[in-house]
Amino acid sequence: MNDTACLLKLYDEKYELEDYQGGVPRWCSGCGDNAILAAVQRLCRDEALHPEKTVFVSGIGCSSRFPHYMRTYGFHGIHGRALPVAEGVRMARPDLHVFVNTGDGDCCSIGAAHWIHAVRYNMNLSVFLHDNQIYGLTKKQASPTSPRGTKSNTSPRGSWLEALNPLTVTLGVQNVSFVAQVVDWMPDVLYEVVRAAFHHKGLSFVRIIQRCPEWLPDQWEPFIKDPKRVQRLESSGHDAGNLDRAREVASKMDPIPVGILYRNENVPCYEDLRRSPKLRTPELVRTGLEAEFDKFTVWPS
Amino acid sequence: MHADFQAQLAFHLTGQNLAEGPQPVAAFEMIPALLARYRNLAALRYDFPLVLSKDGAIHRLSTLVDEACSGVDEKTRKLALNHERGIRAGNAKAWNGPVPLAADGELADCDAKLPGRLVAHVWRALEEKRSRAMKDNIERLKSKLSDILAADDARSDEGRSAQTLRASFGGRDDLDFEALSGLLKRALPARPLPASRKRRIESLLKRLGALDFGPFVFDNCAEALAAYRARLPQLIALSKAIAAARLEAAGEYVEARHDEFFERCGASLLGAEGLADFPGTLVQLDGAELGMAHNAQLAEMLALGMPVKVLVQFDDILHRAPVGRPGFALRSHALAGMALGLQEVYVLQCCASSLYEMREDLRKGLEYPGAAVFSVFSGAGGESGKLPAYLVAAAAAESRVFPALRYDPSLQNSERFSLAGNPQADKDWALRELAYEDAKLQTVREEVAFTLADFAACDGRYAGWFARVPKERTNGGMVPVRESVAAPAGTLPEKVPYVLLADGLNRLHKAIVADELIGETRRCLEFWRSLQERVHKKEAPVTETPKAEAPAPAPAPAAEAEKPARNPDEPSIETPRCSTCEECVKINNRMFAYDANKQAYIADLNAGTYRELVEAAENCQVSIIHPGKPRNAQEPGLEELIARAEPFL
Repeated sequence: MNDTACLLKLYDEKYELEDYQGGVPRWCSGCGDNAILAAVQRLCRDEALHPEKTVFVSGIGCSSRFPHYMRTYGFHGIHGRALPVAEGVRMARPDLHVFVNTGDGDCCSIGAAHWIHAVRYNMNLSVFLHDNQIYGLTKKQASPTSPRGTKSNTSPRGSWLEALNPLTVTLGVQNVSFVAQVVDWMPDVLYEVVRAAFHHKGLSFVRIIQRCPEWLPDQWEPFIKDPKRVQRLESSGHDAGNLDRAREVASKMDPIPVGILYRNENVPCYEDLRRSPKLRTPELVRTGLEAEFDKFTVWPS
Repeated sequence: MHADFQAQLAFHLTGQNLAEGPQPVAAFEMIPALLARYRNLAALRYDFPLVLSKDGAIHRLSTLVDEACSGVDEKTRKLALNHERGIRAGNAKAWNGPVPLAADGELADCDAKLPGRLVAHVWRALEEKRSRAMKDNIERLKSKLSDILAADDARSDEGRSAQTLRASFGGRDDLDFEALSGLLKRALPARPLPASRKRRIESLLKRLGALDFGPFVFDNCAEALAAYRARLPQLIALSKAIAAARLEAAGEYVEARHDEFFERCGASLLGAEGLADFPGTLVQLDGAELGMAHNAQLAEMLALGMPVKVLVQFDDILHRAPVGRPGFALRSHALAGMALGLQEVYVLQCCASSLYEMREDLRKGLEYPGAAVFSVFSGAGGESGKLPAYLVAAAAAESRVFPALRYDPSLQNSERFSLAGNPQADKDWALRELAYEDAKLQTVREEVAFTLADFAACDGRYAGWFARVPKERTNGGMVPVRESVAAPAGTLPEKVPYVLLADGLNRLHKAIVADELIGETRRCLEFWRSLQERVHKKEAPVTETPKAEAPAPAPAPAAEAEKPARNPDEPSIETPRCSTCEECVKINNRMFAYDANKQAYIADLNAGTYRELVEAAENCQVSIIHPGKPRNAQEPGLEELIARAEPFL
């Protein structure tokens, strides 16, 4: 930032939490989405993000109602397609802060292809995976992250397959640059990780393990009651620059590792690789279009 | 022998030759022995000539030829090397060798024009890059502002009129543009830009266009200063326009605040960092003309903080001072001292022969956002006979007369000043091995220091300060100059200092040196030592690092202990652990409320019942609500509630 920017920064507005509060959340009482919403609103306030310069993009599901509850720009998209929409926003408007809220079904099932490639493209987005291990909005169907044996409307005798681990999958994709895991019942850690994800240049993928008090009320109870079953990576001396070690840690679920598993600031962002030094003035666009049209023009003889 | 010594001492002290004394040395008759083997530079592959390519890069011709010849057959390689030798000897003006070179550009030899050409070459390339960035930045802002106006036009009644819509569809007639116009007018309420904002944007668009990108090259400080002063209002106006346009484009311009701000602010918007984005100024000065008036203007210009790059070229550093103390004027020392004293000026001093080696320092200086001074000795002035300028410049660097130094204010304090460009920078003199054949044709090796006295021996004007001693008259009363200089000044010398010179046939001679030159050599050494002290002074704080303290004891759990213990009888919430799950506030939002971080606290105990407290504790997802004991003994069902509250106390 040069002197001029510093000088003008003095005039920046201060924001309160209320400035980011949109509609009244319709999530169930006790839902972990509320904790994520509070953490993100705190982040926006503390970083003084201009609401008109901030976009939340989501897909379908409980978590994807998130943009409705933020007083910023939002895009409540179609199932599984939050990431491509967010990438488009990012490409066209590099001046905006782009966040993605997606659920375990939205991201890891129908949107899995977009998820993998979004990690590879490493565009500057903050992606929050609200992982409650169940389809809640449609009243309890097993999701890809439901642990084996989860009884649901689609698996009344218990699900047959091992749960997909979003962390190991993300860490296995080329160009991965930021992967973290956090639990919704530890607000201080949640806020720290969300903040670190926001400051990361590149795609920051944060899996937020959250409770679903309606459909899986006892899923995380033992972990909440016994703090030893949650491992703080920051205090355990974990090296976030070591990808192999991150993959090893990511594969463990008891105790739950929370914190930043992997961070690499040197991975290039797709939008930076593709950014043209040429200024796209209307004249340039017109010239380019006319050159293309000329290829198909039949000139009068 | 005694008579010989007396005659030699007499010459040393007086500089006058006596009959029967040592033999006088004619101008250009001999050169320092260490330079004898470099008489024919064309036969050597050294840094010059350079190739100044159009992208601002500097290449050694030899390096380019070596790269081009990697992988070619021996015959082609020899042809290429022959062609290179031809260029070096001046037989060819451009590369026309058997292999193409990786870079193309002008050839630059080490001559009187080199410092000016080289500095201007790099400066121009950097200026072009900077101007391009600035122009792009301005164009980008203009484009954003134009977009705002275009969007406003498109939303206006005229923009949504049937006629405009038809035109934007290329004049098609198969659409009902009247209907489309009506639809758009109903769907999009007309919210035109406020008139003041529109006027401001139009004015900014006009103001953003006006900037003269130069180049601003001058050969004296007065003109450079006058031109800068004349340009300053334009720079301030443009920087204001850029700052305002940035705010406008981001939608952050608040009239109530920024109108007044921009009206009042002046040069404060132009910090050194901001100024560095604008076109800079290059001043090329002749060191011989640096008089008192010029020095004052130069000092003023450097102290102003304007992004000026000053090249001061010295062609002759051994001319005598016209007034004041006898001896060499050494104006370069004064210039370096003045520039270093300003603290915020980038300073680079080096000989032209080292310019290629120090090209990165040169580039850094030209990129430095503030003022920078480059003091360069070309070696092309003076009276050095047939010695090429490259050799004279290299000899000046070797003898510490014109030491290489770099001061970079952007670095940490201990790294700002550097003498790294000098040979054997930690010693008084650079020591070199001189190998020669004695009378019995045996190789003799001797370690020789190259001092100011040796450097002066290159210059025909000072031949009178040397007197050759025939071999048969040499005696034990002679010492090399470096030993003589090490002895305290002002005492009668017990031995006569000498330098080793070589004649045209490469025969080695010992020549004794006049005391006046020894005095100058001592003065040169003192200056060099002061520079060395400056390096060590900077390093001192680094070496005196405080001793590693014993590891701090682990923080005592005092804070924990000091925290007042929670009274289990009093209702409470561990607010920092609240995960905002909404349970408690939905039970009673007057008893429980959220703080600024959206975490729950007990707002009013009297606003609810003990039952609600207990229910909230039971529903809390993270069990941080502690209901305590009931406050109202009359509340119905207390026994049951107390039992339910038990796990949460």
